[in-house]
Amino acid sequence: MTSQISNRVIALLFSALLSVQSFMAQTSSMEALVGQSLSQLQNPSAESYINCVAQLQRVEAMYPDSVLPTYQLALQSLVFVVQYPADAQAERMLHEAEQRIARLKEMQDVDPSDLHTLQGFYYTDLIVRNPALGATYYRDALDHFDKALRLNPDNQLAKQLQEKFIANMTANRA
Amino acid sequence: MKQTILSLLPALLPTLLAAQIRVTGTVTDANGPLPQANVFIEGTIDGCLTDSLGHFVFETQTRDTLVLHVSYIGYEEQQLLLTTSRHNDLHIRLRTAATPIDEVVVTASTFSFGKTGCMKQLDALDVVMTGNSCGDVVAALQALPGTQRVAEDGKLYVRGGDQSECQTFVNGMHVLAPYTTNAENTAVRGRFSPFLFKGINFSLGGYDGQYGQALSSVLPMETTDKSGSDKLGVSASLVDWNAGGTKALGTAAISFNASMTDLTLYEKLMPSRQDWLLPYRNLAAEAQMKKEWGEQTHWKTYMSYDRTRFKLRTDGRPLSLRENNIYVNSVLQSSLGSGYRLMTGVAYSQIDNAIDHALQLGDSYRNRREELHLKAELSRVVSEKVKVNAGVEDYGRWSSKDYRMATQDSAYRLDYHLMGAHLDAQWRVWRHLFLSTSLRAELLSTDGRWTWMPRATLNYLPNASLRLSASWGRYSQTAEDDYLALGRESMRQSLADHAIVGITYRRGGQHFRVEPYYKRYRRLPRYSDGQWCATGKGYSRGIDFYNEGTWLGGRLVTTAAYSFCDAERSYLDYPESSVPRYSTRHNLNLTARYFIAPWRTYLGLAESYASGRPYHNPNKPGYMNAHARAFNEVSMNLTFLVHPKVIVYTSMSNLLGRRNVFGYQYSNNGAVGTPILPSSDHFFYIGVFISIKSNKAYDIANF
Repeated sequence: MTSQISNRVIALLFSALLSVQSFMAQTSSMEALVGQSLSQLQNPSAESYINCVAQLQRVEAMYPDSVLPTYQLALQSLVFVVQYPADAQAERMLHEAEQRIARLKEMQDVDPSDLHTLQGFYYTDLIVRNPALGATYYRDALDHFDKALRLNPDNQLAKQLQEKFIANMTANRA
Repeated sequence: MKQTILSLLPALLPTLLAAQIRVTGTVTDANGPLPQANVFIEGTIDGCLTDSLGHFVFETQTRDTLVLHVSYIGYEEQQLLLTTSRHNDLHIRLRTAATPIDEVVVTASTFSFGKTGCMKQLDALDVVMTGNSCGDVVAALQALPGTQRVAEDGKLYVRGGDQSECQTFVNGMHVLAPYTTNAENTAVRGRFSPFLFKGINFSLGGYDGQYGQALSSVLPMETTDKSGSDKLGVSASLVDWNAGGTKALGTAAISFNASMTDLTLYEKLMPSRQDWLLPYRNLAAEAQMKKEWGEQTHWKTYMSYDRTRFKLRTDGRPLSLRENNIYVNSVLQSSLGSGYRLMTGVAYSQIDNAIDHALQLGDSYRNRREELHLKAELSRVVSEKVKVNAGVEDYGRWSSKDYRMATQDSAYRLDYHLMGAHLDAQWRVWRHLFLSTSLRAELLSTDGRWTWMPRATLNYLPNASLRLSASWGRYSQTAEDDYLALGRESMRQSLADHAIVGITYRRGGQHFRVEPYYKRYRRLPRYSDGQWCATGKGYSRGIDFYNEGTWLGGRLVTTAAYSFCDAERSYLDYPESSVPRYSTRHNLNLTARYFIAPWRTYLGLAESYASGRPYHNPNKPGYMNAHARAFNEVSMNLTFLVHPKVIVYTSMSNLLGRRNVFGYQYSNNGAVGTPILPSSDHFFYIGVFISIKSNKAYDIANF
């Protein structure tokens, strides 16, 4: 009897341990999966970006309430557009990014500074895709980078994107 | 211990039983194979993208349940349960996604400029670079179909309607006097700079219950959001000088702008037909305060004041005009949670007009008009299929007029309220079919009667490119103060019934739109049997065609708008039913804008044509029995992006120097007909816009 009870307790504890491990693993495995998806970009090419975005979509479907996969999905879609603006998939990637930005706006735990960075990046992509309309979007891109940096002055991505944006603006002027 | 292992067995079973299976198949849509669709097993990252023929092949581990997930942007996602016998040669057909109800603008007949969600279509710079608009929103809108060119006053005339039938709203609040004042036969301008706005919607009919007091069309404009940084800018031209800026204060921002317009220098360089004693002068000041509480609550207050003055010699008398105009608008918008959104607003307009020697030497004309507009709107997206919006509003209007001359005086005081309430519902009836229904009721205090106005619009959106729409609705508007004062309780609200069908096709850089319409007017103000009453009636019918094209990788943007309009009315002092004097049967507007990249310059060209305007010749039988020659004007503008902080803009209207005639005015005995001509055949503008403090490029908006 004692043996039976102890066996049951051991089984129960083991099951509980598995549950706790699975709960803890959920976050770390999500990060691992996101990391795995991003690892495809070690030798970046248009195809590797498209595959990375597709894989991030799968991770997003696994963790629909988590910010990280959706954020990375938006970010990598935007990076694709800025790297390959003339690619046949660029328009679709812009829509992916637009949709994810809209989804992030609805999420609870989104860093507003990161969100503004993505929005600034989105307008940058619009300009990169169609420089003729640049004058129309300059203001929006810089407004969002400004906001991102005001909310978090240490936002390195916003800082870099803003710097590159201004540098390109100056180069175009010259 | 054996029991322990047995109790863990179910958890370990899937791993023990795991084996690789190969999943293959094809993804298609209505047009054939769909490349780049994402095909994967739910809960895993096992999957692949379809190839150029829509094929997919990948391997995964078998489990109790394998759910195949297929997604592609713009299409409905699909799930498919796989079994050991069903995982090869799968055929999956994706359907285009149904548009969410909150993303559908169930409004036929609307042209939108500015931002739609995250996207931006056209903005203030586009307005500035349209034809010869010279930065005037109203002039830019006249390149659209359905508008009629009445060049001697420059106001918006839509689909056979009078200019008073188009109403302007800023942040949802009414503007009583949206135009500046100017001398006779000189085009007025819209009172608001396009740089104040992030979005402009121009609806030529069929609008929902939110908008009242507009028989023909509405022009709702939304001011820009709070600026995140400081701005300071100046501009100068031959005719006007501006200075303004914005101070960003964390979650708030304060903006100001001051401008002075003076035609003295311009008249010396390019004299007009007017005999100015004191050329047109306008002093204007604007201020705006914006505050945000998080992402959900926004408050905007906008104030403007302008003062206009000029003196000119006309028919031997020194006509002198002074006008003061005040407009204040304050709006609070907030998300209340659970999908509710509340908007409350208040707007006050006041216009004081004083004219000496208005109609004859020694007379005096004084007119004051005031309006207080209060409004509250509550909206909610109830579900993916239903969206509702309800609102109440009150218009309080006060008006007084005194006209004194040597032989007789006339005066009136007018004080009335108009209360309105509306309930709108938008339904997704079927995947791509949307129905919008609304009911608006208004109570006018002068006659104490309710006016009920049902409206409905059906939109069919089979795909992202095509939209078919049909709408019917009843619209009302109180008569202008002069007629209301004369007719009092017999002057009921005028009514117009709109019936519009439309086809819109947008693909790649091309946008086509065709819209036939029919409007029936009732209870228009009419002078009959020695008194003013609401017995006028009329109709307007026609068809609008529109094409917008983007070419050469976006460097060239062209628009072509043609409108046919057949209108007839018996109203005001018309002795019989006839074509209104502002209405033209054929209207054509062509514009082209080309970006010359090496010079960072936009070149804009515009051609406007309108068939001859009707006028009354007393020497012929009937009324409105003659037509002036057709209106034709070719205009050009150049926008030089000299430096990210400096823009030079120049435009010239009527390049070919055509002498346009808008009709003839006959002497009392009918012997002499004088042509009605614009104050000048050309207008030349050159201005420089400088941003002194701004981290934005090509930003000439100080707000």
